[in-house]
Amino acid sequence: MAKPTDLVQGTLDLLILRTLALQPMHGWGIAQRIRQVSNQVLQVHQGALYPALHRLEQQGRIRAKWGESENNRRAKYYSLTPDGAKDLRQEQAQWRRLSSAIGLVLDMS
Amino acid sequence: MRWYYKLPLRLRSLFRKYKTELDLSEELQFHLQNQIDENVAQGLDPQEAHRAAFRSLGGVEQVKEECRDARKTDLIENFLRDMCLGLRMLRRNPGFTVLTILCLTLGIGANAAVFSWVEGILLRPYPLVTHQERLVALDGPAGDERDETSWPDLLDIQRSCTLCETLFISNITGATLSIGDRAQVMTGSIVSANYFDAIGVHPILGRGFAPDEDIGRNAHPIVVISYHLWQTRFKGDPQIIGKTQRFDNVVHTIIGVAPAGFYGTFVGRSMEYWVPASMVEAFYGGSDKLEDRGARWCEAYVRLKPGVTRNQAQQEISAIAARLEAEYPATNRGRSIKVWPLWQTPFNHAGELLPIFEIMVVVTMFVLLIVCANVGNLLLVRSVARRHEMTVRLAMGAGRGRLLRQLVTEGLLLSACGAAGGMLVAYWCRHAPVLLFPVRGGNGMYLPGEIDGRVLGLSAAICLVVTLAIGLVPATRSTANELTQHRGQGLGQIHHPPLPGMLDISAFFRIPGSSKMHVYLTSITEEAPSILLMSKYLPHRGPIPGLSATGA
Repeated sequence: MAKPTDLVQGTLDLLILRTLALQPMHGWGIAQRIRQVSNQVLQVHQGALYPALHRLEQQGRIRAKWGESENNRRAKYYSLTPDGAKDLRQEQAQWRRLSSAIGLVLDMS
Repeated sequence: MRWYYKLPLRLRSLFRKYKTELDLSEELQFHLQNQIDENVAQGLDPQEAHRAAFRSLGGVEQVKEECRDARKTDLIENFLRDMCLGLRMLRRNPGFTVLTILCLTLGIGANAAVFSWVEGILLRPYPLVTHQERLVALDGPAGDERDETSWPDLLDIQRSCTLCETLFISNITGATLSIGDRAQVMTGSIVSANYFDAIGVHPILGRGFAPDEDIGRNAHPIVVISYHLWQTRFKGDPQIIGKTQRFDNVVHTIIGVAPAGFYGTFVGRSMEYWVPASMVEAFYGGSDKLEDRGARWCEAYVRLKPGVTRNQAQQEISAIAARLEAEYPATNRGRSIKVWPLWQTPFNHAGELLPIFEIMVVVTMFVLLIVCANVGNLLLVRSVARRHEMTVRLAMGAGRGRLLRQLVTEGLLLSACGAAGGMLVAYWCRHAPVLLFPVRGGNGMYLPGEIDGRVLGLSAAICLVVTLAIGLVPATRSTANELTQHRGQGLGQIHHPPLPGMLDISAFFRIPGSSKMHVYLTSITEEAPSILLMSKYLPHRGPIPGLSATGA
């Protein structure tokens, strides 16, 4: 297995939003989900995750609510706001454009 | 983003701080618990699992602090706390505090005072006169004594100028007044009849001049006296209106008393009386001064209509002057008229004051620079003594930004105190420029410095710049070092102090007769004292015509 890759600056927000688009989730769950879905490649630095969540909440892109976790603990669940969903669509499109462009440059012969 | 998401969140974190903190702790606790469970499931023993969980989060307190920063709600709260802390620090070192604040008071006060003079004397020189920002002076392009305008020319300009709201003259003159058993030469003005209406000043007793009172040679021996003259020489006599007073040899009837605080319209002198232009020959001598286009004695001002620029006015008045030249070639050939800004008025002290103020601005800026350098040095030295404190705070999870903010807040406290002191200094010094000019007989001069919004604004701006200058210098030194580098280390060495020595202005002078100004800066460093010489050339100014004309 390759070494876990550090996240590119600014992509953490995008990954969080994308993960929350599926279902409301707590911080632990978000980190787990990103790691699993990316086949252990993307390692969310836990120290950075919570400040990012609080910042996104402050920006009105996600909303927090207390709930019960799977193992019956009280957990803070984050969910996407309409604004967040809109931003996600925009940033997703932008990311795809960027990565395909980089792909084109790398694959040129 | 949307305010209706943000506002409740902000308010909540501000007013329900305790609850927010609890939430934050609980959220991280939940995360740690899950991590520990996972670690245990992977076969670590519970104690090791616990330690590993904390390690992977990278310090609970640091994360908490970052979350608080992310919420940005702590700004106000932190600011208040920093203020309290700063005040406590300042109180603990009274010597340092007093010294620093005195330095800053001097630096900021000097700048504010000079700016208030520039502001008051050059832009709004005449107390109580309305709309001074639209006033301009009329004179020949050379601006010397023989170059003033004649009375008939001015009447023509007044009639045909469309961009001028009003035109009036205000000539300085002197006369001997014998009141009781005392005779004294006093300075006053010869003015056009519309004078008081034009400047928006209304006598508190009696009346101003009627429109026809500047017509007819020596026809209207009447006078409006200043409040000061009324109070000091006539003992505030309420029955003063209608009484007579001899000016040199001509008996005048007192028709009005100007309001207190009105000193006439002459930079550098306060006027004690005003007589109409019809009386000019009684004061200046000569004949035909009101009819002869060749008699150039009028010191005229124009108030432009709102929105009219000096250039537009100049064009129109040049056109009028050209027409007069064609109509009256005998007297007006080669005569053009220039529109002068008020701060360059050729017939009073304004033009003389300008270069002096230029020097002062330069010098006070240097003073401020030196103050900043010295106060910055003091703070830098103190920051070495505080390194231990900073190290402890970094170790306890304070972010670099947080420490920077605290240091800047302390700088702000110091410079705000300095600025407040500076305002007092400027207020006390607002009439100080008078001291620069010896009283040359008669009554003294009045130079109104003024503390207004612009002066306050400038001082606030200086205060902010100073804050950054003196706050950030030690801040970069105290927080630049990594935590590990001096853990457990008390005092350290300053390796590269940004300001290695003390700066001092040792001398500044102007060589008489030369237009060059020298400022000597001494810098005392560890290696060797060095002297810097800075020079500035000043624009050349001719002699002051108005003064010699009156023999004042």
